[in-house]
Formats: sequence, structure tokens, C-alpha cells
Amino acid sequence: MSRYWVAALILGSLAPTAPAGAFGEATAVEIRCVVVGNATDPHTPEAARRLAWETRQRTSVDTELRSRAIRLDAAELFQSPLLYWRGDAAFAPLSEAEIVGLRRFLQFGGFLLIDDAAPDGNDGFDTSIRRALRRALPTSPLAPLSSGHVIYRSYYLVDRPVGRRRGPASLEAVVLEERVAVAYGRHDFGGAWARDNLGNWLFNVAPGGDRQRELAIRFGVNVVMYALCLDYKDDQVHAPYIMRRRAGTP
Amino acid sequence: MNYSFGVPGGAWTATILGIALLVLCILEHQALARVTVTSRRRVLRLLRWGSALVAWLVAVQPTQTGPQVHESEGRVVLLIDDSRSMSIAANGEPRAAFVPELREGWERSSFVDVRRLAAEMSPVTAGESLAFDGGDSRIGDALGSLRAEGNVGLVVLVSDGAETGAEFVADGDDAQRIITVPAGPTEIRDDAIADLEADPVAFLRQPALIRVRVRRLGARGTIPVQLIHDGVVVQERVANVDELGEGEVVFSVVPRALGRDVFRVAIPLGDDEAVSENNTRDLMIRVMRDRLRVLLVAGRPTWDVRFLRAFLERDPSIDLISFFILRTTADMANADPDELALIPFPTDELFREHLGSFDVIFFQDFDFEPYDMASYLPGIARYVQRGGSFAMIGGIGSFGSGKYAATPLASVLPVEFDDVSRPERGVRSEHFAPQIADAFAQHPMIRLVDDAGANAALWSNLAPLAGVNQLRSAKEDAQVLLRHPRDGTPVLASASVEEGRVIAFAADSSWRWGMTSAGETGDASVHARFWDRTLRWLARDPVLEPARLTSDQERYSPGARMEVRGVLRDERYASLPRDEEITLELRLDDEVVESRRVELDAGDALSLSMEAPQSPGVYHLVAHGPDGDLAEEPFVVDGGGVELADVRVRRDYLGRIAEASGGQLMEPGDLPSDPALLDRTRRSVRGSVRRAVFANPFLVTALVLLLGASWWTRRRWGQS
Repeated sequence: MSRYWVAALILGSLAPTAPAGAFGEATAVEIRCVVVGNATDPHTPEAARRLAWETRQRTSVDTELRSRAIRLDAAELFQSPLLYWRGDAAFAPLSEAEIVGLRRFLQFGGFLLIDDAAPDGNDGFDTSIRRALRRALPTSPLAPLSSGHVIYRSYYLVDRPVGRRRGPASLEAVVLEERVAVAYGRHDFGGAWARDNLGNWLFNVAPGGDRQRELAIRFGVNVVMYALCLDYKDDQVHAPYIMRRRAGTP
Repeated sequence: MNYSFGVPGGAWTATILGIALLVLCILEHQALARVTVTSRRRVLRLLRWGSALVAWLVAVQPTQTGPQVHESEGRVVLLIDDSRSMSIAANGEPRAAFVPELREGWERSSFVDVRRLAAEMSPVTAGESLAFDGGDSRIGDALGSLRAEGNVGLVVLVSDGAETGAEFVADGDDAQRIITVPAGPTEIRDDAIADLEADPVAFLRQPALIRVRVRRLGARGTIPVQLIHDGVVVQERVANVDELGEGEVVFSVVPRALGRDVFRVAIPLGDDEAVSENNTRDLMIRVMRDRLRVLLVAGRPTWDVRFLRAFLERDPSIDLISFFILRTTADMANADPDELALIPFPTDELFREHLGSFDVIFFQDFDFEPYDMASYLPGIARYVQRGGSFAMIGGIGSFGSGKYAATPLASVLPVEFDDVSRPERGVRSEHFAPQIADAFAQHPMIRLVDDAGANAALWSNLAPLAGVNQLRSAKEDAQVLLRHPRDGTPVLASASVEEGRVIAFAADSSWRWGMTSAGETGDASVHARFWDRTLRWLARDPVLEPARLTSDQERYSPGARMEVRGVLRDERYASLPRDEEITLELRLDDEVVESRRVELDAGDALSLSMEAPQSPGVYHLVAHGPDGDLAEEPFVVDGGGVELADVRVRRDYLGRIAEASGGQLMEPGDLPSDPALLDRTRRSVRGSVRRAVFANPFLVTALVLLLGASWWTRRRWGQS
């Protein structure tokens, strides 16, 4: 384990605990996992739980440490504005009800993180995702997200997205009314976050190893923070502080 | 008069005939050259030319067309300017000093009507005195009205020409003549504030300009001009008077309060000035906000914080400053500080240095203790008492869970609550649908749509809230707008605290009224509507006030007509009992100078006309109900007003009026004591008349005689 992790365990046990949930589970931030068809993947909920745990440990955000599955045509879809959709294989075209649900979820303020966990060269999930998004939001296509976007500095200062794979240098996003509603990466973020019940990492991270994993966790925390704060870090009052700090970052 | 030719073909025919006769005459003239006797030659030529001319006139029938004027003996109207400028004294005598003697002689005549002229024209009975205190002199309007009276032949206007309305314009068919009699000497010594002009709307904390034009009569030099606010001289400038006797200065002021703000402009009063009232004038500026400055402080990022911030940020009329606590001392970021995009929480800058610059402050799930904020809380309470607006929104860091009960903020919040040892003990996490408190169902924060039934349905279809802070009760003077269905404790309460406003909202899940409700009903608007109303109520949007009054102008001349409008409801936004007396008072320096009972219509609105007071000053219109004052609006009655801004006798204007009407300008001493000596013929045009100028038997006879003489002389003298 890294020395930072050891220090965290020690200090975490000594530091005063943060207050319990906002109003308990009623208003804690839950990262729900999208389920389509009959696909079941035990690693995705675990990845979401780990991200929630890391967010709770590292920030003031109160998160729900369980992650429920949700279908895009479910009535409960609008109970929580954050969804995580991870997959590694092609899936059948979504039903019309799922398309409508997805569209309304995003238009009413929801945020969706899509995580392509398929191996390099396997475009099945990617093709299916692009098809679904085209149907749901035909006038708002996926487009590369600038490296200067606030998602890269919503909590940590990160230069690029990384997951279990190093992957592309940028995310793709769907922007609705100046807000990123969908963030899409082909990095298998969840693969870097997931642990087993004993706390062991489920997957190796390459090529950057532990450092890359840490950066993947940081990126995940940034995504959650962006979903909650949007362009808060772009506020003028913050910009000078952040710009000064960027100049000192290697 | 117009002239034409009666012959068919008109001028063309006349011209052709004229040319033909001319040619014949020339030929005849040349033919008569062979007459050797000069006298005979001249006679014959004269007879030829004379005959041709008369023949041409008879043939072409010149015709004159003009108005048919009917003349009759009309009445005389002695129109006396009764405005304040006529009381100006020169050489120890008011301008209107000669008027009583003039009236005494003229009123005995049965054909003379005496009328007064000020804002309107009205008759004066015999023996009735004139006060010369009218606020306006609408000369043009009065003369225009007289034009329509069918029996007036002569108007004698006694005035100094100080027109305050539209100038008189002659109608070419005016039946009346106007004699203008200038009142007052041409030379006068006076300094005056001629005109005041300010930006129609000024913005809070933004510079506004006040332009002052001064006029000097009878002297030269500079005039010092003072700007006075709340009895204190705040600025002073010097106006350079040009060759026309006018100068201008500009003041820049920065308003610090919303609504109507009053300034006074003053110039020194010289011992030899004719008028003192025009040396000071009051000016009212309407101050509004251009942008609302809002501070949002959140103890942690939550969905409720996210959606509220998004709403505030979307509104272009809001300047939003937001600070979220992203990391507490207990959080292990696992990174060096320079790897984090975090900044220090600038408590001193926000809550001491710039506190007063915010219009509304939100504390949302914000626990103050970890940030050494205790020393700033008294300042926030004072900020509210001095007119600021504050809202505490629920969460684990708010109210008792945030240990606010023992802080000065508890004294301004509209609810009672207790501090708890463990934050989670101060909250309940169950889902619930808040109940609207019937007494405040009309409150703008609750009445989100106009129709009461639709509004009730809207609230009943909302997604339930998730969790609530435990509050004990509402304070006595608070308005409880929403209650918990289980125990009736307040969920949403509002109150006015001295000059400020506060709300307490014990939930942190109103975002569900947007996204979650939208998923169920398709309507995502309620979250935005609710916060829009809440923010505007906190910011004192006049449209959302339960009672409001306004006058049609901000400045009036003494005695001028005022139109007053208003809507009056009680603090619950309910209609006032119709059986209780509601009065409209006019107050000057907190003293009631006039009071009248008013009636409200079915929409709780009032509308009435009244006269502005005669005395200058800053007045307050106050709607007063059984429980006290309901609404208030200031206005100014000008001391000098437009009437006294220019005290010159306008002989040029009076001269133009007389000339345009076919009358004359006469000095007071030239007026006859007996009005019967004046021409009071009423000349009215009734259609037009055509007259053949030479259509008479004498011309035909002349033609015959000329032709006969011409024939006889030719025969006599042997000419064929």
C-alpha cells in the first residue's frame, strides 16, 4: 500500500468524524448503476460503491455506500440525479421507453457517466452506446471535451482521464445548456476503482500502476464533484487561485 | 382672396383672347400711323385700345372668390392669468396690481365675461378676488377653448406670458381677435433654478447624474449651486452664466437605498431678487436594482445545493457569489495541497469586508463552527436588522444540528429550535409532503399560480421532501407558510426583522420539486418558480408586496392634479375587511395634513384623483388601516415649479398671440376704461363667395360707347 494510504488509515482513525449523512440516506448522494437488457456484471456495482467510499473519505460530500441498479425505463429513475453506466460488450437497442427515460433524465438535470470497460479493439459497447445516445439526444451529439474543462479541476487538478487503461487523452461529452450531462470515457474507470470483499484491487492498472490507479480515483472523485457543483470552480472568484496553483504543478 | 376667369377654359381662354386682341390692337395701332393729324391719331388709338380692353374684360369675366365673412357684435372675455408668477413683485408692486381697477370698470358692462386662467379656465363672479396662486398657466389651452365659443368677439388676455402648457397656435379662421396685455416690467432681477433633470431610473450603488440649469436675469457672473441630501450639503458646484443668462452644472450621486430618494438643489438668494421660491427645488430619483447580489454558502455539495445554485446562476439579473465547503478537516484528500483545486474559505472578506454589499445571503446546510465563524454571526444579524435579507436552508449543518440556537442568528430567524449534541438528532429523515398553512395560502412564495384550485393541485402533486430539520415552533411575528403534516411544526417560515427579511426552510430536498416531480408529472418548473418567488420576496420586489401605493408623478406643482393608484392587502396577502376603515393620508414631516377614507375594488385596488398640496415640500402618501400603516410613497411639491422657473415677462409670446389673431399688444395704461370702445366684432366665416368683378351693366355700356365713338370718329375723320 502507498504511504499515503497508511497515513490515511492512521489519521482517519484519529480525526474527528464528519457529521453523519445529510438527512441520512434520504439525501445522501447515491451512484446508481444503469442496467440494460439482462446484463449483469458484479464488478460495476462494486466499482460504484468504491467510488462513493473514496468520495466520502476524501471530500465533504456525503455519499450512499450502496449502489442500486436502475433501469432507464423505471419510474424511480428521477429519484437521484447521478447514474453510472459501465459495460464491456454490445447490447441490444434500447426500448423506446428506455430512450425516453434517458432523454428526460438528462434534460431534467441528471448526469450520466458512461464507462467503456471493453478491451482495446472491442468496439461493441462503444457502438451500442453511441447508437443509444443518438436516439435519445439526436440534436446533441457526443463531442470531445476540452482539456481545460472544469471537470479536470472540480476537486483535484488532473490533466486527463485515466482508468484501468490509460485510454484516450480526453473524454467525450454531451452538453445540454452549457452543462455536461453525459461524460463518456473508454478507460474502464471502474476497473481501477473496484476491490473485492477483502479490499484487494480486482484489476491491475496499466501502464502506470498504483500512481495511475490513484489518478483514476481522483478523476472519479472529480466526476462526482462536477455532477454536484457543475461549473462552480469556474466562478471568477476562484479562477485566480486555481491559475496560480496550475503554474506550480509539474 | 382668389382670382379666376369666368370664361369657359379659364385662364387659357383669357390668355388666348388677350393675345388675339393685343395683336389686333398692334395692327390697328400701326394702321393709324397714316393719320397725319396727331390729335386725331391719338384719339383713334385711345379708342381702339380702350375698346379692346373693355371687350376683353367683358369676355373673360374676371371672378373673385373669397370667404364669406359674417360680422356680428360679440362678447368680450377678460381673461386674467391667475397663476403664481402674476404675484411676482417688481418695484414694490405685484404684476397684477392694475387688474382690480380694470375689473371694476369692465365688470359693469353686460357684454364682458371675466375669467381666470391657471391650469384650467374658469369664470370669475363679480366682486370675487383673485389670489394669483395657480400652479400652472395654460394660456394656449385656454385660448383654444375660447375659440369654440360662438359668441365671443374679443379676448383681452392679461398675463405675463409664462406659458406652462402648449403654446397658442392661430387658426386661420379665428373669429376672435385677441388683445394681449403684458403684466409686469421687462427688466427684472432674479436667479432661478430653471430646470432639473436626472436619470429617469437610478441603480443601487451605481452613479446617477443630476443636471441643473440655472438662469440669471438682470446681472452677470457665476452662481454657486449646492446639492443637499437628508439636510446635509453633499456637493457644491459653480455655474458659469453665459450671455443668455443661463448656466449648467452636473452632480453625480450614488444611491444607497431602493425606492424614491429625495435631493434638494439650492442657489443663494440675493436681496434684490424678485422671487425667492425658485432658488430651491427638490428632486426625486427612483432607485432600482440593476442586478441582485446574492451570496450562497453551502456546508457541503448536495443535490439541493447544486440545483439552487444552477437556478441562481441562470438568472442574468443575479450576481452570484457562491462558496461550497468541499473538504473538511476530517476528509483525507490523499494529495498535496498543490494537487487540489481548493481555496481558503475567505470568511473575513465575505462576512466583514463585503457583507453589506450583498442583497441576499443563503446559508445552505452550513455549519459555522469549524470555520471560526462565531465572531461574524453578530454582524450577519445586524446586516439583517439594517435591511439585508437572509435565508437558512436545512441540512445536517443547519438550525439546531448546526448549533445556531445559541448564536445571534437565532434572534433574527423566524423559528425557535434547540441545539443538539449530535447533529443527526436535530433532523428527521422520513419523506413527507408539507402542508400549506391556510392563513398564508396567498403568500407569493406559496401561491405559485394564480388560480387557487390549480395552486392547491400543484402542491399536492409535488414529489415529497426527504428529511427535515427539527424546529420547535415559529416566532410570534413570523409567517408559517408550510407545516409538517405529522406535528404541524414549521417547515417554511418567513418574517420581517426591523429593516430586513428572513426565511427559514427546514428541508434540503426542494430540488425534488424540479427533477423528481418532472419525472412523475412532466413539470420541472416548480423548483424554479418557488425559488424565484422566494428570492424576489427577500429582495422586496414591489410587485410581490402585499400593499403598495404609487402616484403618477414624482414631482408636482402646488395644486396640480395627482393620480394615486395602489393595491392594499394585509401581511397574509389576504383582502382587508371591507367593513374596516382604510384611509389615505398625506403627511409632511410625519404630520398628517390631509386624510380621506378610500374604498377598494374587488381586486383590492384603489384609484383616485386629488390635488397636490399648495405648500412646497416632500410629502408622503400613506395608506393606513386598522392595524397601522399599510403602504407609503413619497412625492415632492415643487416650491418654484415650472411656473416660476422663468420669471421673465414674455412680451414676445404675447405679441405673437396678438398678431396671429389680428389683434394687438396693448400696455395696461392704454386699455380704455370702457370696453365698449374696443372693437368686439366677431368675424366668422360662413362658406365662400364668388363675385364677377366686372359683371355690371356699366362696363357693357362703356364698351358700347367706346365702340360707338370709335365708329363715329372713323366716319367723321374719313377712316374706314
